[in-house]
Amino acid sequence: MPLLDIKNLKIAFQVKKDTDGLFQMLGEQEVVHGIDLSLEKGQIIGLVGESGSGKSVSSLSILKLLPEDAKITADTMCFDGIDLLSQTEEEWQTLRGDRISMVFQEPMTSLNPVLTIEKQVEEGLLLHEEETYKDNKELRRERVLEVLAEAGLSHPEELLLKYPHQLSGGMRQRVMIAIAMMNRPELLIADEPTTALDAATQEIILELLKYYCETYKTAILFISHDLSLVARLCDRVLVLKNGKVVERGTKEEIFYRPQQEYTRQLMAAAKGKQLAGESIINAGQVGAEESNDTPDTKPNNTAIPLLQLKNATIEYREKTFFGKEKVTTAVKNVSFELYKGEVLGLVGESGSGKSTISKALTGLLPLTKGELIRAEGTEAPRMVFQDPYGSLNPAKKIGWILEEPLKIQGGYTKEERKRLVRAALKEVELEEAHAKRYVRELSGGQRQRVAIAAALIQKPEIVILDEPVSALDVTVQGQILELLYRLKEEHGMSYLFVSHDMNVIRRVCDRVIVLYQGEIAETGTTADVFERPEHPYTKELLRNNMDVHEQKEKSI
Amino acid sequence: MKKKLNHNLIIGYFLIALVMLMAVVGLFYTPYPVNEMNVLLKNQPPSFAHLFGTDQFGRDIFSRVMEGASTSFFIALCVVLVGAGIGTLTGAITAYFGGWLDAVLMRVNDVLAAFPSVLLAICFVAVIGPGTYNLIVALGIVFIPSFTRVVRSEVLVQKELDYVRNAKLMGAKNLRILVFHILPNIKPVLKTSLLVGFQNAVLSEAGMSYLGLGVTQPDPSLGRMLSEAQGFLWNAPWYALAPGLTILALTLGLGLVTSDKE
Amino acid sequence: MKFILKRIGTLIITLVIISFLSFLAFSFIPGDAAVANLGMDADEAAVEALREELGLNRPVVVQYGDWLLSALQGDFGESTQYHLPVSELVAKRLPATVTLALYSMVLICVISFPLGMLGTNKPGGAVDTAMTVLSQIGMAVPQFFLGILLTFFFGIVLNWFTVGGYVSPQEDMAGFLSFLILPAVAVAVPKCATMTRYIRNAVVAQKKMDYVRTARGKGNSEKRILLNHVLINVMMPVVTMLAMMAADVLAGSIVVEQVFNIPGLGRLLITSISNRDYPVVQAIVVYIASTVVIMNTIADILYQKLDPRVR
Repeated sequence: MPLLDIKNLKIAFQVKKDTDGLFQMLGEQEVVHGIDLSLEKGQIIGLVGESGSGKSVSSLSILKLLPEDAKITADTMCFDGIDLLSQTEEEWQTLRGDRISMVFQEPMTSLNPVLTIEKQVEEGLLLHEEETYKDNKELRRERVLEVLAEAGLSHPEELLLKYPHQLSGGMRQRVMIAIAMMNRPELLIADEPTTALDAATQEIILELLKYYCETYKTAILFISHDLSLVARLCDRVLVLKNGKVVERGTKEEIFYRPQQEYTRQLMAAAKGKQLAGESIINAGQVGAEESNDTPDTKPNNTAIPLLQLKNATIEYREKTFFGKEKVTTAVKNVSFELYKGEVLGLVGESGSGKSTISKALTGLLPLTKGELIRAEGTEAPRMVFQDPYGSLNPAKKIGWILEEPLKIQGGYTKEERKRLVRAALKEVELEEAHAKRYVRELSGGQRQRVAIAAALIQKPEIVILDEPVSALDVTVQGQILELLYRLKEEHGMSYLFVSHDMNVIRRVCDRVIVLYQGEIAETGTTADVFERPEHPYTKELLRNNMDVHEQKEKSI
Repeated sequence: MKKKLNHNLIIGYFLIALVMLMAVVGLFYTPYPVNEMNVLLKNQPPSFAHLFGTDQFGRDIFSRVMEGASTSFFIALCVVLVGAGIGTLTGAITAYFGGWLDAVLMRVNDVLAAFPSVLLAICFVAVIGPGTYNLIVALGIVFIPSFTRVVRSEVLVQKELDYVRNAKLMGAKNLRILVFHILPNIKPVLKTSLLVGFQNAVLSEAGMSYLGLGVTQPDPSLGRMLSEAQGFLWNAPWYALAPGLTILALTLGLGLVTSDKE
Repeated sequence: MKFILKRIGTLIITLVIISFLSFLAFSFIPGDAAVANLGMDADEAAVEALREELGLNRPVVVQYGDWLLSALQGDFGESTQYHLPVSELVAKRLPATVTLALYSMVLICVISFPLGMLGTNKPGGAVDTAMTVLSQIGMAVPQFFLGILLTFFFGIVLNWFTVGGYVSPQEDMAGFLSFLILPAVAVAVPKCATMTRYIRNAVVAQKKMDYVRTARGKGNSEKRILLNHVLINVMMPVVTMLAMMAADVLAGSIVVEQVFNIPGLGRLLITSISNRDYPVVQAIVVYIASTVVIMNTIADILYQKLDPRVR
């Protein structure tokens, strides 16, 4: 008998339609439509899918941690022979944290901010082994130190009286895992446990989970949007899309013989372009363009750059209470040019200064030292931001948002403006009817299309794309990149493409600048930088981002 | 889809509408002249002729409540308009432009906002004296800080958002950004604080008039009616009930509508 | 410690500014102490002579410095209506107001917490809805109207206490304390309603946080979650709010003193305003302002001490 056996799991939520009037509309919306899942003792199963696929909701339903208004039904939902659907609240309390535990995505908010680490870790003992531990503080502390050490925290005794905010992200997640593993549960549910962490820490957490599985035969249900992580940890994989399982199999089956198009797309996103047999962007477009262009992307030295940044240094000054000034140098002595028709990539991790540079290029931020030169007749660049929800005015309709830049510019009649708005919507493949909607009524991809239309409506020559796809799901990412490429070709624009994602950079850029702590670490054509990286930082970036393939090989 | 009636909101709107109707009709028509005295009809209990009874001078309480409601409504409306108008202006401008003006104004604002409105209004009236218009000035000033604070904190958040940056990139001038881009986004918050402010203004006006520091003789005011009625609790308890319940209906209605917006 | 010192520094500066502003405001009023002493239709020369004698012709800042120096020694001048030292008048009226305010604060603390948590297990359920309606009515009712209703019901219908039968604590301590119960209820009810609502909203908001989900995942019961996890998080903003509420309670006391005919600071303030007894008004205004500002400082410091994140 499997440890966890779920057949035909369905989950529905109550939805309230806000009518902003004297009554509310109440309805139900099913988000998980019949999932089967079974898990053996000591087995690790991966649940993969994008946001909205129902993976988190399904995992929370196993411990009945969903909000009250969620309706859970299933043909079978058993844990070790116990029917989970008919558990009383008291029975749940004995099960949770003792036999089934859970680790969440965001360790900062998942820990109580005002209780000490010791209080939070020892609670599992007080709840489930009250007789042994209630009146024995020494024994309790001993056990707490033991689980913290087991979770890889090197000086656990120093942590006991600390609060969550005093710990690093990785340490917090280890504390979360220690809490979950306190009573050696038979099943551990890990809901995106590494998503909020950096690459190195991710690795350690995965190792830790593996250790628990091997040592205590703990079964693990691992939920992630990232196939590469799942590949490294799990025996079997379930791929979820829109609340349904689209594909299931051993990890070898999923990786080498994916049956569904959707799985292949997820794979491509995880692996980077070099591995995907077919690029997300149509091979006939960017692929072909790139192969033609690669030899001569190094722009002609005689050409005049559209935009030129010379020895730019940018400092932030902060006045402290006593009038002292605190100076932070965000960008140090950076120079580069942007030529007509090219896509220049600006890559680096957060804090590398890439956003600061893009702000400076638009003129929103003054340079402390250095020069910003625009070719004669060139207007200030337009910008597409990472989060289209924030960059589009939420209180206004799409039509108004697109019309506004024309109104500011002036010189158009009302009819002309309306016509241009319609044309712009068509250009980004949206309907005319979208003009009458609000931003919140659109999907993420549609919002980014509107943001692009708004940036392009004044026909700029330079557009700065600040992480334009990193907030989007992988399938939508491909569509938006494709659209950006087509528009660039049609209008002969230049892009400065800012991103932390090496895969995306590689897919779209002609030239790349790698930024490290506010300085240029490396620059060159995309092919050069990716194939023959010189700076150690570039190599590290590439390792963290790209070598999913190798890591997968190692782990299988 | 099922329909679910929002009882709080319905009752809230009903109560506000009821008092508003009394106030508006009271401007043009009252069943009896408000100051008509009739010694024969002293302290009459409610009847069909006098819905809320009569007071110690035989005046019709219903008529006086109607006119008192108009006065209260008028004062509260002016107070909120003054407070919200100036508060929004200073809040938006100081938050958007920042600098030393912002720092100084916020210090003053914080100190003022810490004071309960009735206390501060008493201090002002102590200096400028009682009376309907003085009361509007005093309460109006007292109500500025709360609006400034709300608008300021909202604008501070909004001005850092990408859509404002985007508008700057398009070449929009500061004033245009403030009025056409940011203001529509703080409308929902402003609406709620207008409702809260109105409720506070009604309560403060009634309190001040009750203390004899607000509306002066012979204008009827709900607060002052209550202080007069207090002397007749033994022989005419309905006298106190009529203005008191009218105030309660209005403030409760406003409270219910506000709580729905939270 | 450094934070506390800094906070006390700002406190002193604020107090000086407030007292100066109020001094300035009263110096602009037509009809100063000289006129008030001699009457409106006194001889112009006599008024001028008295002004000279009282030092009213000197610059405002000098007058303020004078006033501040004597105020610091407890001398706030002489009342023009009672011809008594202001400090003596205020000291006599203070006990009633302070007792009333303290009474109300105790009521608020004792009542709001249990009521605020009632019904939070099921937001939108029957108990929660009933609590919402009750707190809405409580917040909407004016304190003086509530006072009148209480007088009517307990004093006239039930005849449990003598209307207007205030006794001073020197005469009869027990009578003084029992008389103040109803006024305290009148002051406290609207504040209780606000507080209850505030606690309820805070609890409901906290219960949606991730850490509550973690606590549930450990096997905590709903009751334990409320008491061991949520309450301590709710406590911090609530304690600051309570400290700030002290000012509101003081304001409420002033109004309610009028309803129950209690000779406290509030009544003294109102009569002094109508009699243009400015030294008294000024002293009371400064006294109230100081209380408000000090309570706010305490609230700030408490918050700093309680929350490990800002400690």
